[in-house]
Amino acid sequence: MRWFAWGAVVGLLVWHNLPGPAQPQTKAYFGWIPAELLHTVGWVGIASVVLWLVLRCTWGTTR
Amino acid sequence: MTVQVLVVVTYLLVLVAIGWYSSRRSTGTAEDYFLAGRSFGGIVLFMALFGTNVTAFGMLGFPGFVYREGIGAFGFFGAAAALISPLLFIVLGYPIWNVGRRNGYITQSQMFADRWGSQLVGFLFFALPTFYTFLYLSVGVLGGALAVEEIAKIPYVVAAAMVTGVAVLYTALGGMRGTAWTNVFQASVFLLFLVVACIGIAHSLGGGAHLHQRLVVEAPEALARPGAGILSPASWAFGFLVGPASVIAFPHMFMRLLAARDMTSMRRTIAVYPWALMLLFVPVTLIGLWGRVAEPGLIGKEADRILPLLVEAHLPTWLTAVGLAAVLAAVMSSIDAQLLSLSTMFTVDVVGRGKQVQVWPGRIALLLVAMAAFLVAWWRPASILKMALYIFSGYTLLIPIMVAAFFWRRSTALAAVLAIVAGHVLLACYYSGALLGDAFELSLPTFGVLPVVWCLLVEVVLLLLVSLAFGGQDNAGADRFATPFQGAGR
Repeated sequence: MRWFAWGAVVGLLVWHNLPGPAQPQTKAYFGWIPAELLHTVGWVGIASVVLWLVLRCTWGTTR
Repeated sequence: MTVQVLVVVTYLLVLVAIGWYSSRRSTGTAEDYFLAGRSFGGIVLFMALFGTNVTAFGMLGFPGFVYREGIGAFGFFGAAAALISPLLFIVLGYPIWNVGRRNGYITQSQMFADRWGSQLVGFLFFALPTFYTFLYLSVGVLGGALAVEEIAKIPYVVAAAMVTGVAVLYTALGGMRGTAWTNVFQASVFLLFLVVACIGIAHSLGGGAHLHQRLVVEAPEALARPGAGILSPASWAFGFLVGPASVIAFPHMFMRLLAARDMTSMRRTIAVYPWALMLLFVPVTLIGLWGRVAEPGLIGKEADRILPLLVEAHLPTWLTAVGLAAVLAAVMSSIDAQLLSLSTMFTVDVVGRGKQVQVWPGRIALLLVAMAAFLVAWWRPASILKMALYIFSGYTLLIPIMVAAFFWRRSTALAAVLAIVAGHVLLACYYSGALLGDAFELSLPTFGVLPVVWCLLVEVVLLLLVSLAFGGQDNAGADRFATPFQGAGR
């Protein structure tokens, strides 16, 4: 579980940091949040939850 | 102008009042002054780390970066910072706190000298962080004073004296507790301001949807991530090394981590950290993007004025004044921690070496360090702002040694010393022009990546080879650093 969590964090970091499409992404959520921005926030959200899992795996078993 | 003065003076008085109140809670011991008695709960620990981490770059430099580079800047810096910093708090921050608590360390020098039983390692972990932090502090005072001069239209020297003087006052009064409590207030001020400013600017410019449509028509390139220039794959791959990663090696972050009360405080801080950085970076990204259509034509460093320009043009006067206080908050919440860490290192590693550590030398050192930083800022050496990359790269080079201390029992003092010296000398060669003047520029090849990558490579290879060749003998320090994740309870 611990290694899965670490792999997921590293994978997400690499993935969301790859250069994206060269064409402008004109879509916006609710009309004003650029899709690109919200997608990245979403990835950070997922990765931070995985970080939380890492935290639980690493510290939760070492009392 | 009157409203601005009133708001800023009130803000500064609140800081001094917090410093004074926190001094009344002090027990008077050195550990209480320098580490707040290792008593920080979740909220104070989080705000102290967050406030210290966020500088004027977050409020002024980053919107300018977005203005110039478009939406890709958010993933490049904001998202990376939101994940890398907490990740390193887990991997290194927790062991630092746990081992530091078990053995009563206050400074990096104490900790790593003890790990390898080497005074030379201790000296390097005193000298290098002191050097980089003093440069960082001077850059902070200089950059902060320039920002205040630009926004408030007050003389540069007055701004530098105000920022430094007030930070010295409340830091000397309250020590670590004083700076942490003021950081809670300061981080609240700049976070709230950014959210309110983002909403207010959008409202004044016709709404977020209208601004997005204008972006699509007038500056569609700002919504693309072409992967060119500073956002090229090579930069993407290594950019995190000089920004988010270096944070864990800052002595001021190190000491704040040591001040955590328990594991729960650490865990809550790390869980909240990415979301707080998102709360900071999303509004400034939107402001940078909207600035492209609201104030087009800003070139180069001019783009860093986009937030003050939009605030002045679209928000009421009183909110503009709060904006100035927010910039001051971002600047001073880092400066106070740097001042305290430098005075702590001087007091513990130099004056108090081998004897009972006292508080009063720390206060004197604080004043001397602040005066020296003020003089550097007053002198305004042309090259100092070019040094930011060098400073962060220098901090990053301390990380492999910290990792080896906790996770590689076979590593030796000789390997650590050789690796540190080789890495930092090579780094100084790469930045010889910025350090000594253009005449001394060595123009070493970088092969398309940041110089710190090659310095790290040299450092890690030396650390591995020398440790493998001459290592294998354990010492008591290795035992004290064993099981860095265990024994902390909840």
